[in-house]
Amino acid sequence: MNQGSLYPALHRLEQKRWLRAEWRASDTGRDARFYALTAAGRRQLAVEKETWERLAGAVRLIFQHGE
Amino acid sequence: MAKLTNFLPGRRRRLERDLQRELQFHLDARVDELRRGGSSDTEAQRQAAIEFGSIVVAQEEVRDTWTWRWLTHLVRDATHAVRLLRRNPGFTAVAVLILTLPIAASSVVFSLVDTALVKPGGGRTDALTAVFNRDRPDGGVYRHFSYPLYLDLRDRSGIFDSVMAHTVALVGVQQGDITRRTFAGIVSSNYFSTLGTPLLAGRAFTGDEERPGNPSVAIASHAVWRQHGSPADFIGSEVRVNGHLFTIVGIAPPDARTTVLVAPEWWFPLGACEQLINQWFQDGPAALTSRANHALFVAGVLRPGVTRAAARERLDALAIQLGDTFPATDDERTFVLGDVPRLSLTPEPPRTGPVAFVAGLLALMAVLVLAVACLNLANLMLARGAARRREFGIRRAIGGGRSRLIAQLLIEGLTLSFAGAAAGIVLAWWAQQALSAWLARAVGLVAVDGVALTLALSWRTIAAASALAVVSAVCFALGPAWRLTRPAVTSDLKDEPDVVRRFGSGSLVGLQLAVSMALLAVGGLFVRSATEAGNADPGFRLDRLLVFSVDPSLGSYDEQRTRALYRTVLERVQATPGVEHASLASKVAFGEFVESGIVATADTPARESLAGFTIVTSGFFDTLRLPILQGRGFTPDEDQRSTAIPPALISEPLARRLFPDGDVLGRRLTFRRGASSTTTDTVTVVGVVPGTAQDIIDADSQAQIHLPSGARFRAPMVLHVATSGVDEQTMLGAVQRELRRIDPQLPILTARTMEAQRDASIPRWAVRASATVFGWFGAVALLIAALGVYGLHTYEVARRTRELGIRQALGATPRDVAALVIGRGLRTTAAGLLLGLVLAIGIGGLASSLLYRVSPLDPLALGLAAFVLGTAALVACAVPAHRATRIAAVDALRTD
Repeated sequence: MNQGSLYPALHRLEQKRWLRAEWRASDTGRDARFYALTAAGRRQLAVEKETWERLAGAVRLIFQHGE
Repeated sequence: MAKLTNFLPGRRRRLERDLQRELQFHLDARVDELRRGGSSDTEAQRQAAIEFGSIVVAQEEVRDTWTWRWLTHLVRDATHAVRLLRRNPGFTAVAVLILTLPIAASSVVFSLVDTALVKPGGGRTDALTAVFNRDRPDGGVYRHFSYPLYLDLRDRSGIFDSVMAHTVALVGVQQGDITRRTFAGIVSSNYFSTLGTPLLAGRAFTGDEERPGNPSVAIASHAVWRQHGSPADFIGSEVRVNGHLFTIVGIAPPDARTTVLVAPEWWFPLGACEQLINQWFQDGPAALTSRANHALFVAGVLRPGVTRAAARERLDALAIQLGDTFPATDDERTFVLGDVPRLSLTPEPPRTGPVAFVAGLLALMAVLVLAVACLNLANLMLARGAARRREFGIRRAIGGGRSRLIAQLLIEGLTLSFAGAAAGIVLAWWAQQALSAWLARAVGLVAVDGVALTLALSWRTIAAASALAVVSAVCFALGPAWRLTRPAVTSDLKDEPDVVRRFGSGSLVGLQLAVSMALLAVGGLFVRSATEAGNADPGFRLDRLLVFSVDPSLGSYDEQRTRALYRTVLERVQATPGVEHASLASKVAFGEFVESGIVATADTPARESLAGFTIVTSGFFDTLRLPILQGRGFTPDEDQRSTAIPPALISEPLARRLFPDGDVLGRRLTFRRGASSTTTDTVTVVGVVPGTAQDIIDADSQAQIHLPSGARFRAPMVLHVATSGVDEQTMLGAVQRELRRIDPQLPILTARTMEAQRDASIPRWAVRASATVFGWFGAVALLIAALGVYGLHTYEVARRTRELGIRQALGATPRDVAALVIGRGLRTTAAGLLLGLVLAIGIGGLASSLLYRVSPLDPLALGLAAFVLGTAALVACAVPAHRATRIAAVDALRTD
């Protein structure tokens, strides 16, 4: 996966108001865009984590049974 | 929600800039990192780029998140379309013009139909149910209601939540020195509440004021209040109407109307009837409380839950009760429920037939013109699109979706049609103003101010125009778009001539020609109709005749003073230099008021006829320069004195109908004024006079009966003056000065020549109006069709440039080339004209009831239309043909 596909994802999340973005000075001196989770974003993250863990758990179960 | 606005140029630029900076930052940071790790500059950059992946793809995907894809496409296509149209101003101007006229015409027609038939009335007007009553259950005469009958309906029927009664009258309102004639509504106390239009200020009339003998009060209309400068103390002030003083107690809301489209200036309670109702509207006994005086129109809101069927049963029961209690006046009465008529206050239930018919015809015309315009535009789009075949071919070849291309072309079409619609709406607005002004002027309401004919442009009309724009865009853009995006790729790329063409444009143009021919021919029929009407013989000479309409009852004249006034008027006017004869009559030819009645012979079996009724002074037929055909005219004595059995003069057509044996003089006749009157008079025929036309349309109006002014009193009369050939304007001024010398405040309502009177008559106006409207439709159609033919053949020639060049190289003369082009044109034109002829005869047949003495097969109109259109079409393809002959073979072969 290439690094470029990071940006469409970031912007999509920003449009959904799960990320908040602002231009700030970076350590190199130039301005960079900093992204942070919003409250809604944090809630969504929790939901996604739970979904992922359920999926991971199911996959683990399959592998364990396979052996 | 940001998604909605992110396509705007300002935001878009900012987003792009930010994205650019962000991605650049990423790359620079990675490059720095790699350089610090030891790679060279170029190495680092290459490495960073590989790791990043395609920048373009990343950018595109980010852009996709900003807003919906279709919105981006839409905006891009629209701006592209506008740019394209601006680059071709000639084509754009022509196309927009072609659309403007039909859309304007359709908007006006829609607005007329809306106002006359569809638009909701103010307040609860549309929820009203009107009540009509008849003398007998079957085929009896419909009458208006008497006041006591209305009260019975209100109090004893139990079916109405609220029911009102009203009528209108022409009254004279004094303003300063002059008296103006205007419309007034005479209403029951619950009128405004029943209609759901509460008063703006003040109070409504009370139940007491519905009965005569109470203080005279009035409610002013909003317009009148504004006219006086909206003073705060308007309520409480007084106004003099018909010589009586009324106190203003309220102001009506701006949208207050009668159920008809007329907005009166003043409103009065029913109790003021006797002071206000002009004799025109009277029918027999004048007392409001008499059961035999039918004057009122009744409508109301049914109780919730009461259906019309249930209401009808209740009314039938009530009718029986009334018949028993009042056998003299209300025996065998039947009530009928119906909708409230929009266009007149007749006692009969409304038939929307005639109005709907005219509206339908107009709508058909408008649609046809629009169809012609669309066909034309489709052709133009095809022609223009053909030049872009290469562009489309390439786009299709590299994988562009067909629907995208079609969408783009559709949007181009929509842009055009919305531009046309915008211009069309402006034009329609202007046309409506002009139409309203013309109508108000021509209908002789020039003497009646304060009639608000609202033909305003409403939001509904604008919405309709926009819808039309969309529909026409789809019609003219979709077909060509489909055609142009066909997957015949290789020939497009090579710019080879398009072979599949045979059926397309030629038949489109042929159809255009057909519809234009139909419109032009129908226009011609109506124009012929108008000229026939103009030349129709009214039965007397119109020149050197002046007419003045006066109404002393609008001032404060009673019968005695009016008679004395008229005697003086006749003496003095007769003595004025330049005047040959002067006389008075109760109506004027081509006027808006007619009286008629049933005349019957006294013997059995009685022969009957409907006849126009006029009261005249003794010099009347001398004034009109008409001879007395049999017997004698009226004597000056008969102008003053009344006898038990008055003398009468009947017109020759009436004499022939009633007395076919020719023995007329001395015979007795009975005369019942108005079909619904209950009083009959007996008269003796003393003379026969020639028949004169009351208006140009109705041939039956030549049956007339005249009574002397001594036998009947009429306050409003028309002074007819025959002059000896002096300039008319001078004479008009001289007679008016004489009248002012007699009484400076005498209400003179109109002063015209008889010719002007004829031109101002409603039927004549209607005929002229329809000739103008349909004539314009035809002219527009002609223009569009000619443009279409021109466009088609220009395109043809351009398309076949190579072929024509080859022909010339092989020895064709310029004449042969021209003949080739024109020959094609001739065939199309002939086919179109033929089809158009059939269409024209069909439409003419439909409209034949509106044509005056012109048959739908009129050869002059049809032939002229065919000739004009054919010539225009030939000229339109002569120009391209001429251009074709100038093609040098060498250039043509080099075109590729």
